[in-house]
Amino acid sequence: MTEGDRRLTEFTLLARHAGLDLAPEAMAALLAEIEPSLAALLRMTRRVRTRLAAAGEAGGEPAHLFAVRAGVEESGA
Amino acid sequence: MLDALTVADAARRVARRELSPVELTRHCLARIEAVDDRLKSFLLLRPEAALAAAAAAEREIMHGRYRGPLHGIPIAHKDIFCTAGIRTTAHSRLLADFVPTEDATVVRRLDEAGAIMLGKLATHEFAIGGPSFDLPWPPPRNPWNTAHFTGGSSSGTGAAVAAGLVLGGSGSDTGGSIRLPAAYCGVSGLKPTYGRVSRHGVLPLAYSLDHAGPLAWTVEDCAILLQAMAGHDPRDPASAELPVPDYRAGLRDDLRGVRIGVARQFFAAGSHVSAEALAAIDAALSVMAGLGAELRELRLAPPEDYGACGWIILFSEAWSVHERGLRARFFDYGRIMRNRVSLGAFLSSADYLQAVRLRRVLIGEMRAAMADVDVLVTAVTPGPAPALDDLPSFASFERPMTMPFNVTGQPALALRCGFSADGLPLSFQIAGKPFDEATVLRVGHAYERATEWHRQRPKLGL
Repeated sequence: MTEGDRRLTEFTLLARHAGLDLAPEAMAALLAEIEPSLAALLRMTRRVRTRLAAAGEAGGEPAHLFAVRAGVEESGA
Repeated sequence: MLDALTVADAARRVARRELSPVELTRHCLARIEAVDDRLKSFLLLRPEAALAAAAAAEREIMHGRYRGPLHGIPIAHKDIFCTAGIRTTAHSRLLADFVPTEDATVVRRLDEAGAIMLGKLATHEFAIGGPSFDLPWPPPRNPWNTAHFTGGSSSGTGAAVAAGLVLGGSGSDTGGSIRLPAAYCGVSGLKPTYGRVSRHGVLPLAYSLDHAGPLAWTVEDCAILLQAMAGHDPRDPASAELPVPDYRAGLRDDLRGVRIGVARQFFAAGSHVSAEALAAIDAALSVMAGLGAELRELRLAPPEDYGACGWIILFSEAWSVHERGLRARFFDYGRIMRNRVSLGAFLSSADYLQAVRLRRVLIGEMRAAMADVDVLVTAVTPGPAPALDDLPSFASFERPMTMPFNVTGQPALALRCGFSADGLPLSFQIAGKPFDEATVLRVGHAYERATEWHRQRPKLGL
């Protein structure tokens, strides 16, 4: 299986999980068109977590503060 | 001479019975007939109904029942605002035959203020998918140069106001959709505070980022339109129950006592903002200082933090709005719309909730940064409107200058501050504290009155 095939398989599974059940050719075309945007969005999700971690407790809800103190929450890196 | 009338000018003449609403409406309809074949700003025109409404307005005014500065003034609505008995398409094949039974609150309020609705205006499909050439209607063209983009998604409103086809109109703004077309088309556009203007009857894009507001030729005209649009509406769960000040009464020609924060890291040299846009903003700041404003440099979080937060929320919420439609009728949506909104299908609930948590942090940081200023000034676009042929398939959404104020919900105004070497408008942005549209409008109005940019209109060969 090539890297491209693996990405398409993973993308198809995620899309179907979200209820987008397109024909294989349409799924491949959609991936080709939105892959750069998905990569940008992934960078954004990382940026949000990093930024939240840097904000520390300032952005936390009480339950969140408990999780941070107890070392439950991921570092955000 | 009716070609360059503003709402305020027209209202003064209508109130004095020097200008007939019927004459003004006929004039706008004639301009639409003459140029909209090139601009494509209207999706639906209702000339007979508009003329009948104008005649009724005229009768009321002649009988001493003048309602105020929008009475008899031609406007139009972005086609995501529901209009009772009038097709509302969202510029989409999916709603090509949708006729609402009820007006959006904004539509009703402008109607009650006596405005004459000429028709429905183009938008990006469902306020996100555009500019698209695979929809039942083409995207509108920029009146300053029809090869160029209008900005979006309130694209038809920007084009129609710039071309003088209407004197004002409605828009919606989820990540910049009032301010971007205002900037690229060289008009004024105000995104009010979240909760200031009801979204009831406005087709949603992202529930917690959607705002409704006005576009018009001048800042004063935006104040007049906002006055009619604003106010509590129990049918919008996010509507704020706060009094609405008299926006026009707060307008001044000077800025004495106003403290302006300059968010320079959003547009500093070396950023993606063009040199001519940068120079225009610096010149605008000098004008405002000359009017008595005190300028202070502000340090804010990088715009990319706001962008990441805003786009994750936007795509997550947009997917929740459209998931059923996309699952069932994927190829009935335009390509740009389906490709953009599908992104939300690949975000997790944790992604969304972390972004919502970050929003609260960013709101707190912005509040602290603005504690000692009244407004902040920054760029609104990287430069003038790009050519339609040069647009990438996706917006460059990692470099947002409008999204920060959707994330924080603050009011933000776009207005012109010059022209590029090739004659396209350059604009900047003034953001205020929550529910302080009055100060934003005051600053914009004083700047506009001190400069000549608003006296130039696009040459449409008429």
